[in-house]
This record gives sequence, structure tokens and C-alpha cells, in this order.
Amino acid sequence: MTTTPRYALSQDLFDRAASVIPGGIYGSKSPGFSVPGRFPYYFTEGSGCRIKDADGHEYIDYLCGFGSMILGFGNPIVDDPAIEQLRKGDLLNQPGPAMVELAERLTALIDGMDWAVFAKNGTDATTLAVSLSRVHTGKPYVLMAQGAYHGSANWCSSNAYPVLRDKDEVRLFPYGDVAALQALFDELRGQVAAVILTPYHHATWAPQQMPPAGWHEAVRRLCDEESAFFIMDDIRANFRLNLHGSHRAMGAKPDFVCMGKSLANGYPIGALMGTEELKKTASNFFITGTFWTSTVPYVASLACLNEMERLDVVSHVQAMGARLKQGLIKAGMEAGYNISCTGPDAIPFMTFDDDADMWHNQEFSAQMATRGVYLHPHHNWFLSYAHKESDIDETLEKAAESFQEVKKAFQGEF
Amino acid sequence: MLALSFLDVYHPGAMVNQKTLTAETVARVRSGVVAALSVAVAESDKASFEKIPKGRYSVVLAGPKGLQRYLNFHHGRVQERENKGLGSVILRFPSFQDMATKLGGGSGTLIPIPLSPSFLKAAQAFQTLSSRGGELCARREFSTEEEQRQTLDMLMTAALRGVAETAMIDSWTAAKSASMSHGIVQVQTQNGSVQGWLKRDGKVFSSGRGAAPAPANARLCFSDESVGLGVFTGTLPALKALGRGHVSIRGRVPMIQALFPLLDRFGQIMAWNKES
Repeated sequence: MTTTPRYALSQDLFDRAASVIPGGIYGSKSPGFSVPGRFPYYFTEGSGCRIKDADGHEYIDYLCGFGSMILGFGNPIVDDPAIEQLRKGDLLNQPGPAMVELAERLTALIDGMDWAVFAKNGTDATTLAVSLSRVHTGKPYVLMAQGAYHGSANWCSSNAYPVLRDKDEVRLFPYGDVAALQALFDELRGQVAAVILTPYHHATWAPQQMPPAGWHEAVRRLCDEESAFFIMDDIRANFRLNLHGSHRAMGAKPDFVCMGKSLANGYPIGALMGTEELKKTASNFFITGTFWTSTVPYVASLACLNEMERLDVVSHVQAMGARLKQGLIKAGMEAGYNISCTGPDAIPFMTFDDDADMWHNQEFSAQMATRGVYLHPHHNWFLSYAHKESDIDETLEKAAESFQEVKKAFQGEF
Repeated sequence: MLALSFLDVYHPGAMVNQKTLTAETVARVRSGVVAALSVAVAESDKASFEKIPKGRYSVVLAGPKGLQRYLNFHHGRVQERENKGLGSVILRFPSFQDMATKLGGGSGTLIPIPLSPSFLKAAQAFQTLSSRGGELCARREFSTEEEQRQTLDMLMTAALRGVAETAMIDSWTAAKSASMSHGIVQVQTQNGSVQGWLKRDGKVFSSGRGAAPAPANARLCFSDESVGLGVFTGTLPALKALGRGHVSIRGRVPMIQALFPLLDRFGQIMAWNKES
């Protein structure tokens, strides 16, 4: 069994954590989600596209705070005004002016959206969208794609026990399958409040799947026929496909757009946006959270939006992602592997063909981690504005070495 | 007659959610575990094998609602089979409560029903194997590496069978079980000295000792026998061992992640004691 003293301090911390925190580290950040024993569990700092783990090792990072750090860690354009606001006060009983400014900015920026409410995490936004859909339509059912991730709330997460009824009125369909979605609408005639989708399918533990031709149009048509809402969960892809919303990049016309992650370059804020039709329902719905009006994230978000627009971040992350994808495919081929890099260029994920169970991914990612590159074995990756060509090229050099190590590890097995 | 009080070694002190467990669930899981252990003891414990009376006979553990575990003995070779008849002796438990508590080492009514002249041999063989299974699982002092290996083998056999049964019948964890993808999880020590597997095929979960019957989709691996023993007896926190890399999970990891709540549930089932 391969374990390594390289991560001794991470492991010590986890050992302590396991005594006092259920699971030690929970959810998608738990060691079991990476390659336990061969991955760092704790990080201490980040700068640009590089992060440092608790043992002091530096990594070129391709997880970007699960997508949030679109401009890179420690970006002064975002951090300086945020820190200034922090010194003046963050949670100030009532919202600050930045909340209004951000709502105005977003309604002007995001295609088809007329209002915005703010929360902390993506789960807040998706759950609110589902609730508002049900209240507005008076119908209970929500349809979502199998394997899709819309947050950690019980209605959409893997939490499933007989006493939790949150999933009772949530039904699943295979992503991209119009006939299956139509069949669900037929079966639940008059009962469907909403369909919730991501701009493309980024299920964990699997290659990413772009929408088939006509998919979003078909969803829109079915929703219209059944007077159901179309919720676009743009949280993960947020601002990496199009600054005006991923739905513009995908030609989709949703009624709600859920945002978070890269909205404020790592500051905790999520947003739900909607069309004029839904505004009254939203205003009559009790929406709050003690920290949802904290001012710092709003200030950070405004700075982040301005900077993303000024720098044309979308073009940059797509170009860097394309360079990474092409280089990985080439390096893989040179090592004798057929690999697939799926998803948009800015949000790629690599899998080894003929290895649906991801044994190779795990070894490859562990090897890359040893070499100072953080590539998640099971979750899609992210590019940021801080990734430059030199970072990609350094990554590819290490990938070439890692592919050779993967070959050695699986000699005779596959 | 039965000496399976070892079954509470899993997660000792685990809080049992009585409201979500029924005697039927406990009886079904425990009887499956007893059957699997009996077979494993016959296969791996020479002394027990030699004590088994020669000849052909069978034992049926029978509970309400058609619950039966059928063990077939053929000159010392023991197989668990789908029910193929009445057997040489039926060990009938009038209620799930009786079955659950008796198979957990507590009190409960058990009515032996002899059906052929070989019934005494059958009862003796079952007594030998089930008692030995209990002893091997409860053993914590080891004179040799082989003893340690053997105990881990028994515990792993019991746990995997218990998880398979739990996955098929426990309504509390049904959604968790349903979420596990089809395929095989191999569970083993790093050097392969002890191996077992759990397979899901449709609604059927099965388990076995040794190498998996087909290439595994996921592998749960203990760095050595002591780690495996620690995890199965609850003396080594599995989470910490995972963090240290002494327990590794590879391949289709969600299958193993789906296994964990079932293992915990199995621990609850083993610790269940309606009398307390």
C-alpha cells in the first residue's frame, strides 16, 4: 500500500479532526473523495494559481476553491476593497449600498434576469429557486438530471433516509434525453413545478457531457407546455463560459439563474436571479440569513465582476484550458494512453478511456500531487485568470512523468 | 446450542437505533452471517473440519415468513444453498425475536425438529461450526500470524455477508443500498492474505471469501491484518486509518462510500439486543 510521509502534517490534522468533527472533513472535501494517504487534506495559503498545503508543499492548483477563484488566489483588485470594507464593518445590521449596486450590476449583466436575491452558497440559491417554483406554480414536482449536483440540501443530495421526505417530489431523468423528460412530464401532468439543469452535465465520477443539439430548446418547450419553470444552476460554470451567464453560451432561456462560486472570487456569496414574472412571489417569500447581508462579499463581487469584464477572463480561461487539454491528450498518447478531456475548455476533466472506475485517474492525480500539481481525480477542474502558459507547460511536463508512473503502477493489470 | 455472542464485537458500544430496527431485520441478517461463518469455518479451520461427522446431511435454520438458511454437509464439505428440501434437522425459531436474540447469544426459543436418522450428526456439525465461528471472531490474542489472519478472515466474511443481507432487507438504509452502482467491491489486505468481496447485481447483493469472481470495480484495502482487525472490531477508527493511508479505497469509490453506512448499520444490527 502506498502511503507517504509527504503529507504527515495533513494526516496529523485529520487525525485530530476525526476525533471532534464527524467525518473529519465532510462532503466533497473529505479525504475519501481524493486519494486518501496520497493527497493533502489541508491548505494554508494561496497566491495566483498556486496553493500551499499544511506540510508546506506548493501546487499549481486546478480546483480553484471548487471553481470560486476565477481571478486567482489573493487577487488585490478584489481583496483590497474587500479588506477596506472589512475594516469599516462587514455585518452591519442592515445591508450596505453594495447590495443594491450588485443587484443592479447583475440584472444589467445577466441575460434575461430582472431581479436578484443573495445568500451564501449555491445550495441556498438552488433550494430557493425550487421553493419559489413550487409556490408560484402551486405544483410540487421538480425534475433533475441523474448524477447532477445542485447542492447539499436533502432534496438534491445523497442524504436519503425514510424520515427525510425532501426527495419525495423530486424525479430524475437521464441528462440530454428529451424522450425521458417528456415521459416524466406526461406521467406527472399538471404537477411539475420546475426542471433544474446545469448548463452542461458535470456529474462527479464521470466524464463531462455537453448538451446534445436542441436539448435546452426542448427543455424550454416542455416547461412552457406544462407551465413549469426552467432553473439554470450556473453555480459551477459561472462566468467561465460567458460573462452574461452560461445560458447565453448554451443558447438556453431559463426563468431562474443560480449563481455562486466565482461571483466574488472566493468571498462567500450566492445569488438567485429570476424573471419579472417571479418577482412578486420572491418578494412575498421569507428569505434571509444572518450573514446573507454581510457587506464584504458584495464589495468583492462588484470588484470581481469589473475585473472579469476588463480582462476578458472568459477568453483567457478558455485558451488556457484548451492548451492544457491538448497537452494532456498528447502526453497521454506518448505514454500509450487514450485519454479524454471532456467539458468546456475552461472547466475540463480528464479520464482514461476504458477505465470507467477511475483507477488510473487516482494514480495519475496522486502522482501529480507528488509533483506539485493539484488535479482532482474525480471532480472536474477549473482554470483561472492566474493560470498562465508557463503554468500550463509546467503542468504538462509533470503530466508526462506521471503518465509513465501510471504505466508502471498498472503494468499487467489493464 | 449457539454461541454467537461475538456478534456484538462490531462497533462495541454502538448506539442502536431501536426504532428503526425490527427483529425480522436482525434475524435475517444474523442468520445469514451464521450460515456464511459456518461455511467459512469448515473451509478454513482444520480442527473443526475434522470434528464434523462424516456423511451427507443438512441443517435448516428456519424462522417465520419462510426465512430459511440451508446448510448442506457432504463428507465435511459444507455449502450454503437455496432451500432444496426439509433437511436432516430443522432448527425452528418460533419468532423473529427468538431467532434474533438466540443467534446473538441471548435467550430465545429454538425447537430442533429431527427429520432423518442423521439429524444428530447434522446438529453436532452445526454446533461445532457455529461455536467455532464465534470463538474465532471473538479471539483477540494471537499466538501466530496464521491465527490473526484466520480471525480477520472470519470477521470479514461475517461483515460482508452482513452488509449484503442488510442491503437487501433493511428499509432504513434502502435508499443508500439502491444508490450503490452495480459491480464488485473487493476487500482485502494489501498482500492479499485475506480477501473477500461484495457484489451487487440488480436487487441482489452477494458476498464471498477469496478473490472476487470477476475483476473488481472498487477495492477497499487494509495495509496489513492488524489494520483490518482493528477496523472490523472497532478498536481502530476506520476514518483515521483512512486518513493515514492505512486503509485505501480505489476504483469506483462511490461503491465503497455506499458501503460505509451499511457497515455501520450492520454494526447496529449485530449490537441489537431486544432484551436489554
